[in-house]
Amino acid sequence: MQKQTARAVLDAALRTGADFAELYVQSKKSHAIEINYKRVDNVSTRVVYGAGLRLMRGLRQVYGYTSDLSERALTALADKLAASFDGERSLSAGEFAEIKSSDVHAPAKEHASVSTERKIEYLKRGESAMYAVSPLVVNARCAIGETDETVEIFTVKAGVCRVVRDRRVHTRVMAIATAGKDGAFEVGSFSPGLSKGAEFYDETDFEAGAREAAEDAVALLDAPECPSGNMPVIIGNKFGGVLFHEACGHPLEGTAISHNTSPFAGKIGQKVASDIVTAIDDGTIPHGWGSECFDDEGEPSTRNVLIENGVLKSYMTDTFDGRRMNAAPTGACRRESYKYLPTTRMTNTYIASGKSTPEEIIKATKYGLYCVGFNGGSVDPTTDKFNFTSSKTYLVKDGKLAGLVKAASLVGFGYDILPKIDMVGNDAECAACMCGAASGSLFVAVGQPTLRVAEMTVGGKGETV
Amino acid sequence: MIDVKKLFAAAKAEGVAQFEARITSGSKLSVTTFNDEQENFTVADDGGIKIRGLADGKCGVFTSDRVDDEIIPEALAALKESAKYGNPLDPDFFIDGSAYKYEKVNNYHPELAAVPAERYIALAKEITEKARKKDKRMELVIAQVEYEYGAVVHVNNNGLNVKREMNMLTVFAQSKASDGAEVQSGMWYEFVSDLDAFDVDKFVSALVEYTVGQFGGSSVDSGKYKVVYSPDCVAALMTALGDGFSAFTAEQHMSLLEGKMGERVFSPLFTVEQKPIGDGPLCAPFDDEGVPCKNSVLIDKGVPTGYVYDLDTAKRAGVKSTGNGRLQGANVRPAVSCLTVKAGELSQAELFEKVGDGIYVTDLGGVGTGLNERSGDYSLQAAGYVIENGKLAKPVSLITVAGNIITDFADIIAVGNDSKFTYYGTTTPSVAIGSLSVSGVKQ
Repeated sequence: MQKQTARAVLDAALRTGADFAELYVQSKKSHAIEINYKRVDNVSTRVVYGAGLRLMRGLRQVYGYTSDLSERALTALADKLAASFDGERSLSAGEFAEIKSSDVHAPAKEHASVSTERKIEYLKRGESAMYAVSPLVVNARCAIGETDETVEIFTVKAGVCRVVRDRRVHTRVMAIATAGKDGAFEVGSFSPGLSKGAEFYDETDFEAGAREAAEDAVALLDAPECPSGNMPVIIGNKFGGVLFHEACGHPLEGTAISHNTSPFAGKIGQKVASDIVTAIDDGTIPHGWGSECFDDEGEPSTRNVLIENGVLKSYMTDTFDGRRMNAAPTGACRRESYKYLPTTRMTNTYIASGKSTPEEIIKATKYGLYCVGFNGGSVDPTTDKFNFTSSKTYLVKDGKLAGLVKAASLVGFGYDILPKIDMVGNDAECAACMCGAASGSLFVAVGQPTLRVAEMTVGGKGETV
Repeated sequence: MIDVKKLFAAAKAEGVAQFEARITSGSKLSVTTFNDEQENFTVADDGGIKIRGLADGKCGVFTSDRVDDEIIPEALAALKESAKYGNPLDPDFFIDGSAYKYEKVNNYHPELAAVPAERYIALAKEITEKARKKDKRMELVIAQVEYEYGAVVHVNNNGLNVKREMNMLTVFAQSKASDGAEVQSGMWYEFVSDLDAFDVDKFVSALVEYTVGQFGGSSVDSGKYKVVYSPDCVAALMTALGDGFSAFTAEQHMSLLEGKMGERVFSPLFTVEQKPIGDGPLCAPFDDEGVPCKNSVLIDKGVPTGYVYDLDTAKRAGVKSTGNGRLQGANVRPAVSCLTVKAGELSQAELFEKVGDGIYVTDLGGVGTGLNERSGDYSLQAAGYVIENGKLAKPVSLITVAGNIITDFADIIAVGNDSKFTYYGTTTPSVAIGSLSVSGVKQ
């Protein structure tokens, strides 16, 4: 985007008294390669290309977007949005100060440096590994998802006239095995991803992950139903962090806090979790799946300690929600694309490591569940009622793993669960996932060490405990 | 805007023997009020293009939001790269435009397009104001009124040139209520085609009742219960049933209906139709291959009647496409659309009476992750009301329900007459299930 075009558009938008104007220009290319049904099933490219124009005046916000980036179309959009306000101009666009992102998340190898043929071979090795596990594997789906995105964010607000340019590169691989027997099907999956380029392929043992996914699917076919009732639940590291993401992360987003629709609103400085819980949203982790140098309103990403030793320390905040909260943005304003009004969202959100080993946690549990794989979950931030589905779950009896059981849903209230975390492991790690909420589907990482919740409600189809 | 003739000429010059473009355009106007304040206002004019073509007999695709002439070289290069690894496709699947007749759908409403933004703003404010006044426990109300217009033009090099357009209004509200001891949240929505016929008071009552009706909720003992699922809950569970009708899924032996076609699998009270021809927001006269859509019965009194087909699966099966082709990635695959569960004759009150003692489930959480579409198994967070002696007795929260959609829909004991077009795209009434596992929280 030419600076003079951005200047003309923002100047037109500011004429009726907006105190904040932002032009977000996005150009993103997604490339997918997929092997499915024992053949190359999809090699395709998608271009996302457009601009979003956002104005604020006090506690009102107006937004418009278009995929027509001509000055004529953008100025027409600016006029339409400016008509929402009826004040006098208080700001003008001047010279944009250029702020460039660092190369901390930059790819070491461009996606194009590895040919499509080699990527297909890479996926086929995973496919072969899955089918080799058992004839019960009825389908092996292996996929690569690459995205390469550049955003330009022009912002005019009091004392600020800047343009931020940020490139974001993501690479993810997926292996999804379906095993079938007597008309019943079970699924196992492996799906790591990072803000990296083609080097990610060399650094990931795709075959091993794919094999494990197939082994999980097959093992689940003969697994007994999960018991239901209230019991201790040990939640494994990496994707187990979806617990914190759902139960606490969403209700700590500025959108819920600023509208007083979160049980955590007004509780800064208060005890909300057990002493051994420290939780962080960190968009600065080098190459983290949810990392970026700047958020989608051009604020630098931060490492934001949300809960420290059980005490609520901070919220995630963006400019608009920050106006109601009287708080500065924390670099957490995100959107899927120019088609979404941005709002406060998580980046890489995790519970920090504690002192116990995973073995000690299992050994200390007389009866309960050990959940190591999850399909995801959801939360109502207002009531903090959450649910998530454990897809790879072991029964624990007398301090030992006592076999795999079928999927179960874990439900509860976040504010109720956090104080019940009574053991925290020393093996914190993050895992890639997609989080869908108000501003679209985003790359976020969830993470935690192995930890134990003293009592949780489990909805399984087996006997009631 | 892209010059379509130039695009087709460039495709031909690049050796793309068969070629089609689906050009979409849309606009949006959305208003959000937070309590009595107008908080957000969004307007958009947007578009996109999907092209598909055969190069050396194999099919490639490309998708872009950018729809101008500058994208043409990149689009065709990406299509050819996609085709290089793509699947072979019968050239006849780029259909002759004169070979088909299309039925009319009625989901573009000119009067809706003429409504000024001020009326949407006023409606959103009216909802937030009335909802907060109706019950003093209603602390916060956020209302969103969103108008959307969408058009698709589908053109190919064999004379196909069809267009469809739709518009709709969605009225959505979410709420927080507090009685000092408990906090409850609620939401309500309605799809509107005629704003003059929209009953704002009825909408507000539904939102308020849904929200404050949850106060004082407790759990139940774990065990087996008769369960009435609300229309939204039935629609949520139906998401897993849809893929079972795909002829492609069946070819892979991954359909949960495999071996069950023509058999009495479900309750005789369970009839499901596919109704793409009508006036619903998702109705369409043609599918993603340009083939006419048509209404059909998928489950007739508990008996699944057959799979749905696109051109490719139909050819392999020796049948005709049912107009169910949907572009997914680089491939068209069959998918059901506009599912409609046939309504029964019982009102909700009569349904509860029929059940006697059980649970009325109005909310299912975690459907995206807790429902296995291969097996039909599910284990989901739920909330609703206890039914005692045929009447709603008290709210129930934080329970989980676990079942299997095949066995549950086989165990339907009654169907309501309260059909609703849900945000899942499925139209369905409430249904009562004979026995379900419910797990309650120890209080």
